[in-house]
Parts: sequence; structure tokens; C-alpha cells
Amino acid sequence: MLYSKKILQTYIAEPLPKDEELVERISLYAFEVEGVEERGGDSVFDISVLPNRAHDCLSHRGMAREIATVLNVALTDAAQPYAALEASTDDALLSVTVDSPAACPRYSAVRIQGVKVGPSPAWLVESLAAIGQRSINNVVDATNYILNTLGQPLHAFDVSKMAGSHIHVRFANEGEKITLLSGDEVTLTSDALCIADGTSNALLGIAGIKGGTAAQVDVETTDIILESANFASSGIRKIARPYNLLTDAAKRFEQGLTPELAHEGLAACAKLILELAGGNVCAGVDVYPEPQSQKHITVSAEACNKVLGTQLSVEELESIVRRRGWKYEVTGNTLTIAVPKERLDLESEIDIIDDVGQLYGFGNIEARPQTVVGGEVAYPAANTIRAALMSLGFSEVYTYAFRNEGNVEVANPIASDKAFLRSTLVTGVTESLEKGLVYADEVCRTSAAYFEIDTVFLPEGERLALAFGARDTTKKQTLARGLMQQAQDALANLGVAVQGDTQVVEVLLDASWSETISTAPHFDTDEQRVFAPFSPYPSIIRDIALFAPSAGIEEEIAARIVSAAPELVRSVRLFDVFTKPDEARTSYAFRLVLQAFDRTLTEADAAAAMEPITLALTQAGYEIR
Amino acid sequence: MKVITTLTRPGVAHPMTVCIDRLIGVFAELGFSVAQGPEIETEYYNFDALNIPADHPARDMWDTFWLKELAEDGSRRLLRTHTSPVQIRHMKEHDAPYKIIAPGKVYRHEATDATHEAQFYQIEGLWIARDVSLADLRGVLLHVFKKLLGEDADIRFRPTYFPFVEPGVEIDVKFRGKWLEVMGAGMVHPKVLENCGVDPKTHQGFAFGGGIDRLLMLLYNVPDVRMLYSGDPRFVENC
Repeated sequence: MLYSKKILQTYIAEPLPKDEELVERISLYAFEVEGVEERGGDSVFDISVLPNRAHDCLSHRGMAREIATVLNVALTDAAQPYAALEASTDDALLSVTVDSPAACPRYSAVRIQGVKVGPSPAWLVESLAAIGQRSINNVVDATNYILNTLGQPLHAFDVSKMAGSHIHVRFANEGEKITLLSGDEVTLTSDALCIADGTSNALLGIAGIKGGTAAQVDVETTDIILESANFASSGIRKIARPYNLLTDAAKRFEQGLTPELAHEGLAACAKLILELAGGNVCAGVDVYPEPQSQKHITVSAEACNKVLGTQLSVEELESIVRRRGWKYEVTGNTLTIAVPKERLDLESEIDIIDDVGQLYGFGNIEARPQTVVGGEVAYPAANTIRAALMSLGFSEVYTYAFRNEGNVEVANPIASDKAFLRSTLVTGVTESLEKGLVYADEVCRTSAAYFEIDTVFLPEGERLALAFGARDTTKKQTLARGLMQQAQDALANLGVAVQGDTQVVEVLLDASWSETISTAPHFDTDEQRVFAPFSPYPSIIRDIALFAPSAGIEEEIAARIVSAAPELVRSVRLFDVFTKPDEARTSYAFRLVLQAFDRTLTEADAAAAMEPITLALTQAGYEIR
Repeated sequence: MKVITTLTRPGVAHPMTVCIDRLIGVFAELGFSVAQGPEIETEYYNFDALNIPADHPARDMWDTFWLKELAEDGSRRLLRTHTSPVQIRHMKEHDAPYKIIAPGKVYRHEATDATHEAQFYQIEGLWIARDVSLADLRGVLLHVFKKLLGEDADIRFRPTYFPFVEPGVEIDVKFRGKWLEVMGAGMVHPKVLENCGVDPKTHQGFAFGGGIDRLLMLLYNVPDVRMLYSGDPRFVENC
């Protein structure tokens, strides 16, 4: 939610710190701040209020109270609770019937006659704009302003558009329609709680969610009923989501709001409307058959310390509770706290401990030193298979679980061609092999050899599977076949029986391969591998073969190539070496991969790159072939 | 520049395999063993047992992949959205105390980009005993991150909310001078313990869960998470 620093400041007795510092204090002690924006002399904070604090902090006053607690500063009078509005009941002027108190725990309203609907004053337009709200007219803006400052949703109905002045809070009839203020016509089910004209039975709005056009407030309006009510969260959620009507009001009710806020919202909004639009309150009503009861929770310093890992005394606990402004009684080492009615999230001792910990500062909790144990570590058993294949030259890939075919179908896929969970790893490994052949030289391999070990989804359930394959660039695939045979032999040694003569072979692994065992190898060596970016531009291959007087000096020769090679040379790989028995010289062949990150190389680029290399090698006394 | 002077050389393991091994090794030093669970989960294990009832706004915190076919008992099946269900399975199948980690694949119905994928890896942790506290959480994670990221690494806790822990904290880690969000954690909610037949009056402890992908990308300098699952050999061979 967006919070205007200017509006927050009206509730806090001391000047708020600079934005940066405020962000830090809020983040460390209360909520995550997603961002701050400067908007015409005001700072607008985007603060993430999660479901547990939506009850009290989705409003400027609620957030200001929390900030004041965190900063340990006083609140202004504006932050104090509003007294209920004094308005006489008069059934002839205003009456309300609530069919289901369970769905509508409280319905309070006033009738205001003689209002003049018009544009809002600049201060109101600006305040709303700061938090991303559009100005509509003074009456609607007033309700919006109170929603954002106190957190109480309100709605105004034009009495002259009603058949009488009786509000009936009832469920819709199955199939009953309503045209909303947005212009959309919606067909309702009998789950939808509505506000209806008690005289004509026409629908005036979907309760707690959105008003309808039937009694819409416009520039002609002079006589309004101002509703400030409370609606049960599950009923709101049931309608708002499927109908895609998660309005500001719906967001608050669906996460739960105390009915105790309704009379404050009513008083504050009526006052504001009288100021902006004139008029007078001629009647009021408050249907609140079961007022919210006062809850008490007992907490001990011992319990706090056990959870937080702190050493708070009862006095320290008391001072934190006092900072929160909670009323409490002390009995020995325990505090019995009167839970503020807006804190619907405080259900038991552990919730109080969380609040205590927050204010104490989770950052202030010291680390308890841990004991390091020795002994064997159990690594994934499948690592044994990995190590066996890797020693033969197979590298590991991970591929996508979502495919366009399989046994297990996803009800809500992210793409139509990703609607199934894979039943085989073969597709993925095959794709890797194909790419592996295309980029063989770039990845410095003679052939493509890849494997994957991961879950496949079969009709009978999930299974761990292994798929591996090899391909080389020759027609006869001799190298690849040799690799596959070696792999099959190695796996047979591990008790994994593999069948198949295809390029990619798959086998389902026994459940035991999913476990961790102390005899499995592990791949976390000290060496920190770093990813080297690869270029999207095509490479050029240049082979260089030479005779050298001695055997076993490939590293020395490679070093010479490297020091003479320009940036364009991305890799140098020995791919052949032989010493003819009757000759006193050894032949070395290196493959160089040339590639740029910003362009496709030309023959001229390649030639220019090779020049210093061939020069250096010749100067070293090697005979270039 | 890559220089290879042997005619044959071994293949390489995928960085995620390496990362998971690293995490297993570091946590094993502190006595954590590895637990596992299925990727297809029941709504109960993935949400309800973790104090996230249906029809509760908290459900919106996870974008779920649902499966078309229901379970035999008519309940809905999904792809697990976090590794937290493994906590529930482990607690239901074993007696306390518990000191486990559970690395594994999870799924979120999200648009993919350089830092978001529909499938990724998380690591879950759970330590329940007689008096495990947030001070132990700090101690464990400090040890782990110093081992993974160097002695200069530091961690900080920020308040947050998850239905299955209370208090709930976000954990940031300081790496190369910057604070980065790495995991969520907290004290396992008494309701969750009760759901698993553990008495919250005698046992308590913490749980944590974090994505491995972001950590991997930091350590390996990988610019795009989608590379991890593309199967493109240039990725794994270039690490």
C-alpha cells in the first residue's frame, strides 16, 4: 500500500526522520518497504503489509501508530480514537434491516441532508493523488480519504434515487443482476451479500465490495445515506475474487477488520462531508447485535526468552508492552494483556511474543554458538552414478519438467505447450545432445555426451530416472557407440541394468538411489567455478598442427599459443598427439575456437588472429604443418 | 581463455548438483541430516497442515500449479510450491527431536524472466527439540553463510509473516558489500506442531526455507536463471 509521508506525519508528534532512515527503521522493526518515491514535496512509501497486519495497518493512522511505536515517539491528537457520532434514531428517516449478522456483524449509517456535491478542495485532491487515487467528487473523495487514513471502508447512497430510506442487507437471489459503478453488469449468486433498497427491493450495491449505479451519488445529489459497516471476511472473499472485484474495500474486509472501527469511520467521514459539502445529520442507526468482546492474553518473560533466545526481565517485558500502548496487569512474572480490538492477529501467547520480539529487534538477538560435529556426511546416492558417467566424459544437464505431452496433466499451465509433467528424460537429453553437437568445439569436446538424473511423472507416481546419450560428428558414430558401451558397463557394475542400443538410453532407478549415503562421492570441491559467458555469434575454428622435438611438452606449447593469442581466441584444445616410433619428433594438433562477443568474425579476422600465434610457434623452433 | 592439454577429460556436474552437495556438507557439520519428499503434493501437506487454510488471504502468497487429476480420496493435487511440506511429512513419520534439511525442486505459477522460473530449487531446514530458539537460528545460519560466502559474510533478521511460523523473519545475507534477501524463517507455529502430533508445550524450534538458485547465481556469476534448466550444454560446460 502507498503511504504519504505528509499524511503519516499528521499523526506523529515529532518530525519523521529522513526517508532513508525511516525506511531502515521500518524494515528492521516492522514491515518491508518496497520503495520510496518523491512526489511534489511529499515522499510516498510503498510498504508491504502482509495478511497478519492487514487488520490494523492498511491505513495511514494504523501505520503511523506502528511507526510511532518503532521510533518510540508520541502520537498527535489526530491519532486518538474518534468518538461516536451523536445522531438520533428515527425510523422514518433512516432504518436498516440486516438478515444475517454472521455475514454482517455491524451496520452503522447516518443520513445527511442538504449536501452540495461538487469538486474537492486542493488539499484533498493532492492527498489522494499522492497515494495514487483519483478525485471524483467531494462526497466520494471523503469516503476514499477515510478509507485510506482510518482503514474503514464507507459508501454513500443517494436517497432521492431510492424508493424510501430503508436499507436491507440481504443475500442476492440466484441470478439477480446489478450494474456496478464501473458500468459492468454482474450476475450474482445467492452467496453474494448485497445492500438493497428495503422499500423497492432493488440492489444498491455488493456489500463491502462495490456500489451499484442505482443510488449513485452525482452532482445533483443533496440527500445521502452514509454507510459504515463491517462484513465477514470469508463471504467477501468468496465473491470478490471470482468476480475479479478486489476493490480497496474488499481487500480490507477479506483480510478481516474489527467492527469496532465502524463508528470511528462514520464519525470522521460525516464530519469531513459536512465540512466539504455542507448539510446536516438528521438521523443515525447502528445495528451491532454482538459487539466484539475484549480478549486477554497472558505472557511471561520466561516464555518470551525461550522463543526469542533473549534474557528479558519482567520489567523489560513491561516496558516493551507499554511502548505498544497496551493495557496490562502484572501477576508475579506474567503480564495479562488486554488485546487491542483492531489486532485480530493476536490470538495467543506466541503472537504476543512475536510483537515483543519485533520491538526488541530481531537484529538484537545474539547468535548462540553451535557445536560442530565430525563424522561422515551422507551425500546423494545418485552421485555414484554421476561420478561414473562423468569419469567417462559425460556432463550433467538439467532440463524442464513441463512438456507438451505426458501422463500427468497440469490444470493451469503457464503455456499451452507446457501442460504436462514429463514422463521421460529422453526428450530433454536428446535436445542437449543436438545442441552439444552444434557447439562441440565451443565447449571443447570431441563428441556430445550428456546425462540427466531427475524425477519423471508416471501414472503410478514419481520415479527417479536416469537418461544418458552420446553423439559424435561422424556418420558411423563409432566414438559415441564406444562411450555408450563403456557407460552401460560402468552402470552394470553399480547394479543399474541398462538396455537399449539407441542414442539416448533411459532407466528408472530404484528407490534406494533417492537416498543419501555416506559412501557417495560429492562434487563440492574447494575450487570455485565461475560461469564464463558465451557469445551468441558464430565461431571460427582454426586447427594448428606442428612437429616438436620432444614428447610430453603439450603444456609448454599451449602456453606459447596462449601468450601470443589475441582476445578473439576463446579456447585452445589439444586434440591429437603422436610420436612415430622411428622418428625423433612428436606431432601436436591444437584446435582453436575464435569468437567475438559483438560480431560475427570474418576470414580476415581469423587470419589476423593466427598470425602472431604461428609466428611465436615458429620462433620457438616448432615446425608448423 | 580455456586451455585443455589432455586428449580426454571428465565431464562436469551441473552447478545445482554442486551447490546442493555444498549445502549438505555445511549443514552436516552442525548435525543436520537430509530428508526428502515428493514433488506432487496434497493440498493438505502443502498448505493446510502448514496453517494456510483454503479461503484465507495468505494462500495468495503462493502461485500454485494444480493438477487436473484428483487424488484417490477426491482431494486436490498440486506441485509443491515450497519444500515446507517435507517438514510435515518428516514430523508425522518420526519422533522429535528433528534436525533436518530438505533440498528439492519446487514449482510456482509465475511468468519467467532472468530471475524467475516456474521450477526452481529450495532448501528447507527444521530443528525441533526442547529449547531451540531464534538465537540458535542465528547461530546456525551465521555458521552456514560464513562457510558458503566467506568470513566477511553477515546475516540480519527482518520481521515478516508466514502462517507456519511465529515469529517470522526474513533473512538477508551480506555478500560483497550488499544485503540480499535469501530466505524466510521463524519459530514453527504451535498449530503446525500440533497438526503433526508434537506437543508445543514440550518441544519448539525453527524452520527456514530459501531458494538455492539465487545463491547459485551469485556464487557462479550466472546472469539468467533460465540457463539452469535449458539443457544447453554451453551453460554447464562453461561453468
